Amino acid sequence: MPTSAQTFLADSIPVAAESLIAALLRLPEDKRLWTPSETARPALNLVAECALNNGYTVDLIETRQWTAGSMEEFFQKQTDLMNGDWATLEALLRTSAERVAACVRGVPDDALNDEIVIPFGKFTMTQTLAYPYWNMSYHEGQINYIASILGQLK
Amino acid sequence: MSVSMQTFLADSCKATCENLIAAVLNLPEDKRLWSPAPTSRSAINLIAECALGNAYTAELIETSKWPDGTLEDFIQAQTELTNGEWETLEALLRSNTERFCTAVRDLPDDRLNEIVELPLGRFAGKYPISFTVSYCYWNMSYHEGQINYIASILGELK
Repeated sequence: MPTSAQTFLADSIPVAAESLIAALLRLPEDKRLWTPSETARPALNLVAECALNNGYTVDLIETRQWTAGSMEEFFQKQTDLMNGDWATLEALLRTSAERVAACVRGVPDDALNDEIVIPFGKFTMTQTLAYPYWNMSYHEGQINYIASILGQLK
Repeated sequence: MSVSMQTFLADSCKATCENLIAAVLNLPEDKRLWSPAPTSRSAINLIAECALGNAYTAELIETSKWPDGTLEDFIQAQTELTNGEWETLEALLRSNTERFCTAVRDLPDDRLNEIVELPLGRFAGKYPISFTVSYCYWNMSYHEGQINYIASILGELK
């Protein structure tokens, strides 16, 4: 049976969210806000970005508008999530992944070439649908890289 | 117009391969073999894995079988590529990605549920080919993140 890009991505998004959570939880608890240098980001900051951007991608797909506000507002929310309790961030990541997966699954074929303009550039709808899966895979790699620096990669 | 999973993966892998090369080239030349700890890998080593992994996955699609050879053989090939010329590795990554893209684009729908066996490490097991073909896209995205993380440690992330 054929598998569409939307089905592939919708099926992959929750798996990527669970892999991201597993990567975070493999880090020792006292290293989840740790960074190897002043210019690098901690693992919880990366997860917070994914949780927020999954939600903003839903808005983008549904409205063609970037709803995250200014970069300063985004960073403030990300910082608050990063410094809040893990259970809240974990739940937000899961619910945002479920929401964006459902949204991606429902995008009709005739919208795939639509162009979406956001403050960071122009994207096709297909690229927008791929973003949550790509972004969570990208940051899973980074969290596991932090683990490898700490000698904790299994 | 509909886009199949196969077309999506072929188109995306080509773009991701170029992003991976750009990420390495963004690092200072003397930091491409650098790692921040003895237990972490260098950017070039990550690229070598992607170059080899893309060829292995292409062969899996082409023959329904993971290429012969042990994990030690794989690591040896990866080490030689890591320590060789960048131009050779860059060309290999591009050509192996192209080979994978052609193989996945041509994969017929009626093979998507075919079961194939992966012998390697934590991924060892039997999977539908529809799962294994997404490996190259995931793997290159994952390692692009890692190379950019090395850049961020060095204060070089643009």
